[in-house]
Amino acid sequence: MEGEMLKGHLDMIVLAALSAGPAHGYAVIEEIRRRTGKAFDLPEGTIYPALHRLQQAGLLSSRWVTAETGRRRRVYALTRSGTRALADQRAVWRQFSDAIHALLDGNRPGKPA
Amino acid sequence: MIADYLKELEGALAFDPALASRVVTEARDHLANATAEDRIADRDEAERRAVARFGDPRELAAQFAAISLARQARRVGVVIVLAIVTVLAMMKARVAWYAVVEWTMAEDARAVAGVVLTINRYAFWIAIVIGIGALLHTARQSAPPRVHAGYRRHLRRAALLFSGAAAALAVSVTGDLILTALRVGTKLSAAAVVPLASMSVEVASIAIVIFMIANASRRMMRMAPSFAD
Repeated sequence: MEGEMLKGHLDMIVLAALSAGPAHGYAVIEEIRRRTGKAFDLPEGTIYPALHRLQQAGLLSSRWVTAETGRRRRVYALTRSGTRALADQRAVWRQFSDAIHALLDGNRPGKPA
Repeated sequence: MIADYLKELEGALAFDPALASRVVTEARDHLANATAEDRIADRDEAERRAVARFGDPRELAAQFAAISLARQARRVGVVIVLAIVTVLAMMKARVAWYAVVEWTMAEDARAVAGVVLTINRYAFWIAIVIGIGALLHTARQSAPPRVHAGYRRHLRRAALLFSGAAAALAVSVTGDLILTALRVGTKLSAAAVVPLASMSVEVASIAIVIFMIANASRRMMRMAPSFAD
């Protein structure tokens, strides 16, 4: 999928990936890949500005943990505001997606099939 | 390969050392995971692929620039409001102390004190209004994915409001200094400790505000190369 198209929805994608539970950056990327069947092809580092931005907006919280390897990693989780924002964005997206489907499939009311 | 990449990333984020440290730690963990999970036998090639997938450090720095600027702007807004509250508390403490020790203004200084007090009050109210306006202005807009022209305008307006609030507060603190000098005069006594200590706190508060605004402006200039849309 086009990178520019993805960037416009990156915040929603990250929020959706974190709805499965708290995760660090690499696990967020993996979750996105798993759920989308590797359809999204973004530079992986792009996920980090999105995570920081969402935390700054109060939609995510984060804390440092030490992995089994001994490396420090930042684990992100949805806040209540983040969960609400995801629900709102999901509703808007579904409405938009249904409208686009109807448009592309020519299913407008009143139009002959 | 990864070490070189992290060094480059840290250099690209030099405009915000605390952010750079956090991002580099996260990137180090990410790249180590990506390399470990790559099934290719050649570890150098695995590292090269992990770095390539992570993206251009300058492009990432450009995205982090907006986050850093938004954080900096909010911090300055909060510090200005805290400085205003501190100055108000010091003014009230001084007035209460004068009442306790029954310290009145000398007759010949009252005319000058009246003028200074009027200027002081207006300056303080202007500082409150502009300071709260600056805080609301910075809270109104969250960091965009990149520093675009509209966000640059938003930041310029924030800088203008910060400077206005700081200037008004500086006038108010100067007024307090004059009023305290008129009251205390040259007769330093034990009772003068409270007015002098409270004035020191006021001067320190405005100095911190000016330092933060200057620091934020300097950082903004350093980040200019990352600003391009």
